[in-house]
Amino acid sequence: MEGTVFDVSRYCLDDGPGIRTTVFLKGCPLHCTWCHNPESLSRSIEIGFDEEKCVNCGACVQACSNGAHKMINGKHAFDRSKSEGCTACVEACEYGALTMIGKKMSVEDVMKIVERDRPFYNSSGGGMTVSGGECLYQPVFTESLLSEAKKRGISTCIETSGYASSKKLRELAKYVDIFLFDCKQMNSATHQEVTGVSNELILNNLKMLDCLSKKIVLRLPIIPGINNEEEHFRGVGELADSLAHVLYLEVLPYHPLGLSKAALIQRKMPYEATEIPKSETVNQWVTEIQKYTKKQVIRSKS
Amino acid sequence: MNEKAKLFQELNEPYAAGFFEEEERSLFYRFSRAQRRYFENKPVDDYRGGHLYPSGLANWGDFAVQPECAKTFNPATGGKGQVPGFYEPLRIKSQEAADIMLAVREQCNFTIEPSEDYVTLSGYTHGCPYFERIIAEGFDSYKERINKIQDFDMREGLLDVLKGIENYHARGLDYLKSVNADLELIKALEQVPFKPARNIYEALVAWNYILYLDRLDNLGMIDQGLMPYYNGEDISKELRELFENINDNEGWSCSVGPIYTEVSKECLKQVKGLRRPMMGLRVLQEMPSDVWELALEATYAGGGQPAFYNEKKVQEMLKEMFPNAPLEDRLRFSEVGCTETSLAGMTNTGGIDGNLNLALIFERYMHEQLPKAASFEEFYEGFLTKAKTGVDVLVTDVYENHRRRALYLPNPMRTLMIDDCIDKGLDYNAKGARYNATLTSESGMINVIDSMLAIRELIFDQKKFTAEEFLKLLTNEDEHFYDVLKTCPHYGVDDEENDELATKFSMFFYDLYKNYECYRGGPCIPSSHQFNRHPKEGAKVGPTPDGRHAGEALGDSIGALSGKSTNGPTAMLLSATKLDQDNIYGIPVLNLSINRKFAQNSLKALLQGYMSLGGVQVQITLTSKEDLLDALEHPEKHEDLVVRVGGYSEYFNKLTPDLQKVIVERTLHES
Repeated sequence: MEGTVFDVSRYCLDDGPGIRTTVFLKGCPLHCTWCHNPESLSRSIEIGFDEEKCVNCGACVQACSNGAHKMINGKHAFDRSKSEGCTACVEACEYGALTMIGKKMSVEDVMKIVERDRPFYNSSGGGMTVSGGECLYQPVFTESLLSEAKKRGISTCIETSGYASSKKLRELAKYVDIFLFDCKQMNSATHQEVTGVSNELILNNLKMLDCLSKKIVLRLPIIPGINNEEEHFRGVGELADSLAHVLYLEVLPYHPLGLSKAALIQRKMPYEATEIPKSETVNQWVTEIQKYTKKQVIRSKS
Repeated sequence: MNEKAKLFQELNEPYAAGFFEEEERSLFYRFSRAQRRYFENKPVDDYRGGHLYPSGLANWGDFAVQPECAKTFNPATGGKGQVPGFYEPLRIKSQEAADIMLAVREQCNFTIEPSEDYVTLSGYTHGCPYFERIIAEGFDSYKERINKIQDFDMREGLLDVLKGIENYHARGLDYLKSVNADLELIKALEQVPFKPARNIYEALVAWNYILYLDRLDNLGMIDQGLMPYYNGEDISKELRELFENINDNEGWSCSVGPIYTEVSKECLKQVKGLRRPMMGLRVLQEMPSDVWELALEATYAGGGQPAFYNEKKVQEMLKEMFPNAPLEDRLRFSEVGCTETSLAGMTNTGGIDGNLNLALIFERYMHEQLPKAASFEEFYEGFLTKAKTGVDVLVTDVYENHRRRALYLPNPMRTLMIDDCIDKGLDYNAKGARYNATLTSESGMINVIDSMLAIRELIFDQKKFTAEEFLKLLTNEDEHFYDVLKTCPHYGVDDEENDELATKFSMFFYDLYKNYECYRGGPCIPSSHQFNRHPKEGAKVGPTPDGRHAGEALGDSIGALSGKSTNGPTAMLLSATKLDQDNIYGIPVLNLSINRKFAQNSLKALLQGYMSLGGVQVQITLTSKEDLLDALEHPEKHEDLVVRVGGYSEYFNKLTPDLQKVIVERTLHES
């Protein structure tokens, strides 16, 4: 059983309780305009190109048999449409300018890394979190990872947009200790507009998980100009109160990290914030949302 | 009176004068008499209105020749070949006197030149008086034990030292009365340190007084030692003053635990924000959560307080070091100096006696043998022989130094205050202490490991360079070659294959020390702690394949080299457990740099996880806005700096300049 993984990140402190290893799977059915991980959108393995690291040595040009790399006036030019899944250029690049974004990994490959930090899961109450992209976009692999972790006594979380087959979600829910469930936009039409899909399936899935008595953390990406508004704040507050198993709500303020990562794959992000939310603005959001719910609202730890 | 004594007396140099009063007597007696005259003439310290006395910056007197407790090259401060500290101030007073003292130093021949330039011989032997015994019994009762000493000169000498202390103590009391000092303080000092302390306040006053007598070296087991006197009193002010005294006078360490009491907790509260004493918290698995909380609060206050010691592992090491020591003695673990292992009040650890520059040995070996090596294994095996020779030279030199120290450099103050010198009738430096050891350090262990990994990868596995090409590019410090070196496997990222070499080499290396016994009888113990040596030792070493440029500092602990903890702190800690920590009896120091924000959510778990795997010691540095600002200017030094944005983490260097700016500003804003 193999999945397409773009990172297995150790010592994650924001993806559930304790110290965790987060497995980022590639591919997402949503296309949020502000996406924080644009390199995870495509399910395919891609080549990242960091122009700043490139010393124009030409090693990739020699290695490439598809003509994807050329030297034009002594400067390296990369035509990714011609790379055709070949990775010879990445192997030839000694300066880290060309990198693979994503790789095929087996459950065993992933678990081998996850197992490394077991002593720290024990001391912190942490474990493994499967994230993305949208991890439920690779449902079988995600389920295999989760069931394997549970078999090994490792606590599990998944971080999801909730946009997935309800049947599959119900099946794998038994392997999940805590769902970190995104709530991007309560208004269905706006949801469709900014993410590319409607929120009906998402909300139904959320209610189903609650029915199944699964622990849920509602994660609220707050994007200036998109959902930093009273209607959304009220909506998520009321939603949280209508669900018995929501532990707390967590505000994730917009950050522009996605922009630099999008540049690696020469992708243009549709959303560009005019300014980065200041700490006091984030605190204000927390206070406002708190008005609409009895559950605790926190800001993300970092 | 002897002419020389007279000369020094006229120059107001009582310590030197005392030394010459009876030139025909033994050195122990002469140093004791010197100590007595010093105390008799030392100015009383100013009373500053505190709860303890002396307090604040000590007044050692305007004497060029001073006694020292820890710096055993005394009175010739400074190593062989260096102009001793006393020389210039004394020369200003009298050339003749300066020459006499210099001759003393030459005649006594306290120390030798190292046999090889990769060895540095050092002069500290940090220690810790037996505070608890002096406080409980009083110096008066010590006289009875001293009177049983067979050796006439030693007996008379120690009684002389006590007379000196009595004189200084009496003058101090008269002074305190004359300035209408706090009556409680006067009352306490009328009792201690000559008669037993009767309550917690007297114990604190005595502890402080003895600390000043010992010239503020180490505090020992402060919380455990005070506990028998404690009945719920508020001792916060006295403890803080005691800690500030050691802080202001550049003193060293103390330990807390492993029985966790209200006094332990108060110690953790009062050390907050102070650079010294460096507090070592002895952590047991069952350490209560409120003690953890206080320790972490102190950590978050910055300044690296406290350091965390894995008590279980320390006890295992002590059992190996001192197999005949009963449990009650082994429980007296208290680090002295930086992290030197000692059993408080009963050890002459000899730390740091010397240092081995492993990186220098490696550099020379590499240039000589790499072009000849047919395989990595051959290259590696050859280096083992060199490392073995290095340890042999170091330990042999230190042995000779110890022998000379025993002959020429008695230490009456430590003989008086550390067990079992009086009962054995032996000087502290001549096997008098109950437990003896020599503690040395090495510089460059991790640099050597990473260098070997780079050589294995580039020359033998990938065959990207011949040995000649490799050495040429390295010697020229070729910029692109250094970029390639950066991509090589390295220690500190929890990679099994890399760590395997670290395990193999460190086991071989630290095990070498077990073949030796030190002059005073006791183990030769290696340590990984650098004090401030790593830049000095690094200055001697040319470019090394770990990506280090010529003259740059060597690694500062058993952690990943600076900028190389690229897989996060859990991975770094796991790598560190693969080093042969069990044999680094002088403490395998681990400097853990961690972002302040992450620390608050994970530090306890990181420490507990590390210790559950056998990690011995951790000291924490929280990264700060300064680090971030420096990272902007010198990104190459901060490749392992992780920052968090929203729910995601990223290496600071990977971020776009704009984003870096945002994070720096946010950090500045929030801190």
